[in-house]
Amino acid sequence: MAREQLKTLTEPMYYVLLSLIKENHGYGIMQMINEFTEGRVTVGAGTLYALLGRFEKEKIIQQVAEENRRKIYKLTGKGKDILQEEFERLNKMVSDGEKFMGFDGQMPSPPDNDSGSGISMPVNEEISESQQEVSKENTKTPKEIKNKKGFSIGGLGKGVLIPT
Amino acid sequence: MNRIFKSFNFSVVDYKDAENLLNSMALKGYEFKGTGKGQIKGFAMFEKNNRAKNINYAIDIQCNLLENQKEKYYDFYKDLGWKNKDCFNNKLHIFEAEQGSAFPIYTDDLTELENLKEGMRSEGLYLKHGLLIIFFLFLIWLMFRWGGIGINRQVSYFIIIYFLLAISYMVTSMIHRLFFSLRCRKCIDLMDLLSKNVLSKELRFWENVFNIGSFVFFPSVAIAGYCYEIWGIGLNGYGFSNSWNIIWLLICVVSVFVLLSSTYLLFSYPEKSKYKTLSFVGYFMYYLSIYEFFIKYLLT
Repeated sequence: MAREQLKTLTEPMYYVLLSLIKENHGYGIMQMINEFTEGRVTVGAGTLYALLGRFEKEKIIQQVAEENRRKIYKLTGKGKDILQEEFERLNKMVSDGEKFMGFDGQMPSPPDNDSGSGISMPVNEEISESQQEVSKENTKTPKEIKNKKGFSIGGLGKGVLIPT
Repeated sequence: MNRIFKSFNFSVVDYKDAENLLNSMALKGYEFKGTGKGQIKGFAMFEKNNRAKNINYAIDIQCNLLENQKEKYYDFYKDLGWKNKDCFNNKLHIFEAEQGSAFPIYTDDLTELENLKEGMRSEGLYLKHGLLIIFFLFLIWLMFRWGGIGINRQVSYFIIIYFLLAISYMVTSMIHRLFFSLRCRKCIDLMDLLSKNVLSKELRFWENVFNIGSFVFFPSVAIAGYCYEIWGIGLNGYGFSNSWNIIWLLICVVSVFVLLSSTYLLFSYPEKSKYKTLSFVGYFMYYLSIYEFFIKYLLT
């Protein structure tokens, strides 16, 4: 396959992983997702079949039993880590959203003079140290950052959001 | 029993068109019963039925599955509401469900697009068409090398034109698929991509014309030629022994009937393997008698 490693966790993927925290089979996954999201998210037979196949190949889930010719899956340790990270990321997104929505102040103003990079933050000692750390990390090749886990989270690796 | 036969030679990228065909026939009251199981595979049979109006059909692409993989695959889908009805070419799997009883097979566009790309990759269209092109080119070379004289030359030119038509159809189909897969790489919207698949209906039409035309044409020429020779007027003066000609003539005529009847029987009783062997025997007799005639006729 051209794209061996999944880069983003789409909504169906996230819900399928959630349904496999405890052991489950295909029908159970579909029913639970439909019930718990009150019909907002549905996973079809083909989508589920393809996702389970891909997850099993990437060792995110494993087959733990077989009942009545039905395979029963469960998350592996790697799968639990990925799910936990995604859950925390989504939580942060919501709480950041609340900060933005509660923001009452002015929009940040760009610097008056022509100097420099257009960063609106004043550069003082502390911040320049943390920026040095980040720029050191950024000298790692992109491959190293990606290969930390086989399954990185949506391009929001380190060093992307912090202006340098 | 009110039965209708429709041509069904959809390839992997036309699966939506195939679905639309099945669902529109179901709306008209015709239930899909199966595709050809013998040597003639490119047709689907529909039967007028009361339950047809409530049936929904869906097609999934999984290429070249082994028997045990197929069983697990069908069981999985059955759990989720889609019962397997038929499998065309071991690539298009046709599922049916009652209206409203199951979610669509693909609820996520991205997964469906990935599945289509994987199906296109493992379909092996380029290999199949490529080998056929090489085979036809080889036959053309053979004919130039061993071609006869006199009246044979005109017939051999006709045969060469037939082969060239076949080759050009296959080249067109390969180019069409190449462009489609290039568009696939850039495209992320499945519906947009499938709507740009314009030439496939025409390609399927010409493939049908070609297949049906050659199925009818070659035995007619062979039968006419055998009859001509039996009545003593050898076409190139080499008088073949009449008794052999009668046998070949019979084989040719019988093979056409056997092929057609076994195909029809296999539609009604898809599981019986004796009809499948009958179909294979008919196919063998068919090609044997036709090659016998043309090689004898053209290479002497």
